[in-house]
Amino acid sequence: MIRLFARSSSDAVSSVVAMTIVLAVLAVALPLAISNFIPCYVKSSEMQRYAEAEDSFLKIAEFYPNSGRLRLRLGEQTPFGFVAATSLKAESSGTVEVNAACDGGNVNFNLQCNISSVKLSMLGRAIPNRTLIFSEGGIVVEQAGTRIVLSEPQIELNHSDDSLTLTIDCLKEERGISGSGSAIVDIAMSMERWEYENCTGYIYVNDSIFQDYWDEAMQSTSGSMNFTNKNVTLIVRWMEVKV
Amino acid sequence: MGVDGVDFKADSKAASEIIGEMLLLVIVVVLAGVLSSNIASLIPNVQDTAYVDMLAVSENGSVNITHVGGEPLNLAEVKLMLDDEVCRFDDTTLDCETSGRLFGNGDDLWEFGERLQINSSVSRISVIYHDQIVCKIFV
Repeated sequence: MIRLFARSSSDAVSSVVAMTIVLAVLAVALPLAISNFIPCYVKSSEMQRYAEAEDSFLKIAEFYPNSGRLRLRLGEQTPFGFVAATSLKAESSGTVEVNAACDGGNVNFNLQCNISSVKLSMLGRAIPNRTLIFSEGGIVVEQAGTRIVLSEPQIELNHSDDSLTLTIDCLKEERGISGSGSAIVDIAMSMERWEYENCTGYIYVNDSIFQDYWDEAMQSTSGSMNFTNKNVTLIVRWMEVKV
Repeated sequence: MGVDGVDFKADSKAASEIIGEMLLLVIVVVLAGVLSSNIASLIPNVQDTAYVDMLAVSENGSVNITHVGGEPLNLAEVKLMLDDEVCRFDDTTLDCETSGRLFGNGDDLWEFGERLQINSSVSRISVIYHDQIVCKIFV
């Protein structure tokens, strides 16, 4: 009697079959998804984020040398982790020093300031890291330690026999932002202008990004330029970044 | 007659159970295969496109295209559509009617900072990688 009962009961069979099917499907689908879909999804998300961040960052070149506002897209939290970690930093890329004695030694002036630069760094999981740098009206892209000038800086150093006009971009304060989502970054530019007569002195520039362009403008290879008996006009554009 | 009076020839109940199990197994294997292939096709199609950024400058009757960001491109997989002409790379030179050369470190990759000089004033350039257009340039 017991033997007959055991043979005719098949209640558990459908559960086992169902579980086997589910396991088989999972065993095939999961490796497929992990090996194909997830890396492509992450890469696609990062490409989109890079493009959005770059587009919004490059607007800085449109309103320069005036004040403006950037609506910046930062990194993104996806179901498969954080992608395209993005940070924006306003920092010094070097120094400018102008020192002169004017009007027969009656007036002396000395200006030292940090050259302003704004850096957008994007760290990717699936695509190479990339940094865009805006400084003095020019744009540089940096990848794997190599830099390429995308647009040349607008260095304004004009000198004739008896006059010299110099415009420099100086940073008020270093600032930075990183994280996810969107950020609004205000870039405020304010200008100061000084005029001096009959000046003798020097200009010294140490610019880690556009030193070559300064050297060309100063017709120098040492990063400095001396001047004698010139009327000097000095224009300073102060950059302040508010996040 | 068999052992203890059981007739093996007449009693075939165990055989049908084995056949049943075998049929179930076949059905399970077939269903799992069919479902798996269907699920694979249900996964959203996200194409693996190369990320690359190019900058083109036209001067003196030639066009310079510089790789200014993204992944390095394997030259064997790169095609260029110059106006209506399709070009491939032969080593670091263009293998088509329009002449051109890649200025770089000489390996088989087009990497960040490397420049392709096209000795013709083309106006429409498409960079095709793995049969996908990764960059379209209008000079």
